[in-house]
Amino acid sequence: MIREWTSFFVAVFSLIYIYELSLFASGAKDSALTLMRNPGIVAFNVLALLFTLYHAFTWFYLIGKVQPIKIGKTTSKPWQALLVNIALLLIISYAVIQILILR
Amino acid sequence: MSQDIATIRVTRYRPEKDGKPFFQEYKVPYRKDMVVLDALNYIKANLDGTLTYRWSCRMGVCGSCGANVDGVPKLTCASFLHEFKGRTIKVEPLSHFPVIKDLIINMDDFMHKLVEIKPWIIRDKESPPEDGEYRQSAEELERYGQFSSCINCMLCYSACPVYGLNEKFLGPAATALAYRYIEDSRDQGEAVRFPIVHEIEGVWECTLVGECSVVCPKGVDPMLAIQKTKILGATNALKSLLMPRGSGK
Amino acid sequence: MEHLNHDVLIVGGGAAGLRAAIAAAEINPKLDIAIVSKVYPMRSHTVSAEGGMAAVLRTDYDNFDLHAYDTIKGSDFLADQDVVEFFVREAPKESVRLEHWGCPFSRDPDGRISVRAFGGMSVKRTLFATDKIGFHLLHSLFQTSLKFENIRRYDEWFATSILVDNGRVDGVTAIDMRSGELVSFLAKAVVIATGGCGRIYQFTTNGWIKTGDGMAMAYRAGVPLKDMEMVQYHPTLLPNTGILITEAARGEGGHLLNKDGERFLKRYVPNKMELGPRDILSRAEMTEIKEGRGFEGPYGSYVHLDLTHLGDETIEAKLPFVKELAEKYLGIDPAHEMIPVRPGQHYMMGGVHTDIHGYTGLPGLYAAGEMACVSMNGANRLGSNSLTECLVFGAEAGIGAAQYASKQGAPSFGNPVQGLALEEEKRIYDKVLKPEKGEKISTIRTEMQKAMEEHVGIYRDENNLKQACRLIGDLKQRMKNAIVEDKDRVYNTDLVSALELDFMLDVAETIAYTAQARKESRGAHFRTDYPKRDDIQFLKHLVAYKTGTVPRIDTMPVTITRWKPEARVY
Repeated sequence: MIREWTSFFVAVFSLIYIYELSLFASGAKDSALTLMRNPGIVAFNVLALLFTLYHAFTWFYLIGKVQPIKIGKTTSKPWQALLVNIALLLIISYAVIQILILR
Repeated sequence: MSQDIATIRVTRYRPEKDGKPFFQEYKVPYRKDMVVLDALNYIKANLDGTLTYRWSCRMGVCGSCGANVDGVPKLTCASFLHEFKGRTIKVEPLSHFPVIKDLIINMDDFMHKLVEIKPWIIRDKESPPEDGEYRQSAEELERYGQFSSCINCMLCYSACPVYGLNEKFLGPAATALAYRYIEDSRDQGEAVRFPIVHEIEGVWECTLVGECSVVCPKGVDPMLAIQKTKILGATNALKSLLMPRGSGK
Repeated sequence: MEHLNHDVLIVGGGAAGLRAAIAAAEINPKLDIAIVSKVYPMRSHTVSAEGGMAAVLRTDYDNFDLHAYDTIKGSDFLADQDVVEFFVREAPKESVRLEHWGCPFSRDPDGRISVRAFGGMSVKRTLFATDKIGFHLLHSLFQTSLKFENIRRYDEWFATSILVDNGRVDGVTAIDMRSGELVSFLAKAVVIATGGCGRIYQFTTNGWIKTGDGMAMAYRAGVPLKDMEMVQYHPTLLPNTGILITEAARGEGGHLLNKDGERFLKRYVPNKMELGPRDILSRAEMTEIKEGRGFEGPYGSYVHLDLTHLGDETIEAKLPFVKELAEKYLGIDPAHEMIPVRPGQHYMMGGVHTDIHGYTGLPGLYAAGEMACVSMNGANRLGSNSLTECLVFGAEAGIGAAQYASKQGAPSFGNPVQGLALEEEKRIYDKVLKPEKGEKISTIRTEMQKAMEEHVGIYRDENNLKQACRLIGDLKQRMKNAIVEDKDRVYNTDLVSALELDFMLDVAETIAYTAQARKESRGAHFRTDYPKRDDIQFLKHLVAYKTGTVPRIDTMPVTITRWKPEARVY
């Protein structure tokens, strides 16, 4: 049931994030940054990230179980699907960070 | 020297007497290899003949004896007392079902769903027994084999939070059985079963919690069956979109 | 009292009952068929059968005469040979029908149903589905029965008596567990298929529900119980729980070893070894134990079943349920450790007398399955014959009942039927349920089980059997003053237990008396005071009729067609 609990953290994170965005939108940039640097908020973000990654990884493994891919005579195993999807996650995350954030 | 004792807290509910359920405690002599069912049988034979529960085979294959043991759906015949911490064990009726009496749940909903999915071989043409068996390879058997092991114990329905919220959800065991027939090479009834499993309250209500497969005592993995049925539904929908006049199976 | 009308009423939802229902439904779609079962059909004890079902499908090396001979010799020549000849010819068709109905048999590389060796069978003819044939057979039959709109089920209704009107069966009375109400079912034909009575014994493979209900009901209705002394002891039960370890474990190559690590069966059945017939193997194990070559454990004596030489792969592929049971209930991995086993009650060869078509002789009443005695199994049943038997004779009984019902008018709920039903209601609610003081049912039941285990066991003699007759008689008296603690109407399992115990005592009595009357040893019935088979005096069925006092024992001839009785050596 742990995977179900991750949605709680995602929901709370979303609320905090929307609030931070609203601060930026109304021009209160400093309040926003202060909030984002708050050690409690940072700790919560790390926790939320860990739970989300847990959700993602268990989900990747499940996809591998539900839809194995047949190449010739061999069928893919769930752990292979997990690794491939983690790799894709890292690649796409890197691309997003490069293109949208660090430009 | 004192004898080892286990305390069993069982939910009691007699519709003719009790307004609502309550817990009753019994002390039973503890033996290392006792299962919860042994404790219930001891209570009924020696302490309280009114205690009411279902059981038959005592070897985990008939599916009668499901109950919530310390909050987890289990077969009482396959739950050893030594698995639990301490010597007090709580036994309640399977959750998400109406209770008739004590640990006896009303399983009408499940029995109804069983019939709904048409769990029999559907074929355009049957061949007579004289012609011999339909041939089936080991690979073809493997595609549905594990899903045919369901003993209808309904632990999965007790574990499923979606079913707990919405009784109309087709649910793990029924979907697994539908998938078992869909994937059986001898069956040709996809067209009949797809509309049933691909209703909104068929497979689509499932949010991949996965507790059903965790509690399943026979390794059926109904969660897997539901997801596979979703994929069948998605690919079928795509096919009929791209090839509106395309044939079925 | 409420009464419900149906054309064909089937009591019991196991292999035989479900097969009868399907047969009746197919023969006449206009027939209104009802199944009354005290449990949901998926819980019927058919579900626990493990090894396989026998039929001549491999005609390249097998034939009907061989299957018939194996069965007749296995029965120690007490089986009715016309019945066996009919059975072996129907068995292949029934097996293929079951396969067509979806049963997930294990398969050979060419896609055909796989076969394995089994006790007493000359060649491999036991079809299997890993080691859970009973489970798969029951679920396939049950799920197939759901497609017939003219089959209606009454799940968790406990049948209590057969209604007989002027020598004709008009229906049954049954308690609706959910409401606790007794209802009369009126039917043009009734098929009883309620299974065996293993719970009469202390140590049995049988589940809780095997309490001989139908046997007792038919007996009380005037139908004789035949061959009741023929009780099958299966050689390999787990010592603490009595859980069955399938014969298939030996079929796949398992060995039985005594304390000295010896495959002791070479001294009893040197040609068949572990695949000898069950009666001889069970006695062999008891002899080894008696002569000090067994093991001692916290649950009594036992011998070893050795599967270690089969390897992990074979066990995973062919015996996964055996592995699961050994691991779960004993903490043993059979690929690396010995499984402790000992003999225990498993099956009843005897039962309600029927002819080859499942007809009991009482107009309107048919019977099939373990509770019936056609007789196909005589004094000893070969493993894997009974599931096929349930299908063959379940179908026969269903067809017979359907044909009879098609020619009958519906019975009416007037007298005497209504009177009988009301009397039954008084018996249940006033005599059994009402008393506030008395002896616990569990005490009487435990004593009955102990009496049968100790005095009507694998080895029998005059003194013990006489003792059993006396003890059962005492217990029947004490039963009249028993108390049902649960006074509820709704779902009263205590009341049901009392009624079941009542049934069991009647059935136990017939076993004890018939065993005493058969002064010879044949098949599963072994007497230390009459250790030899006596074809001159006892090549006949013994039948027990209910009287006001003790059972009246009579005889029926054995039908012999082509196989003359010979010495039974393996």
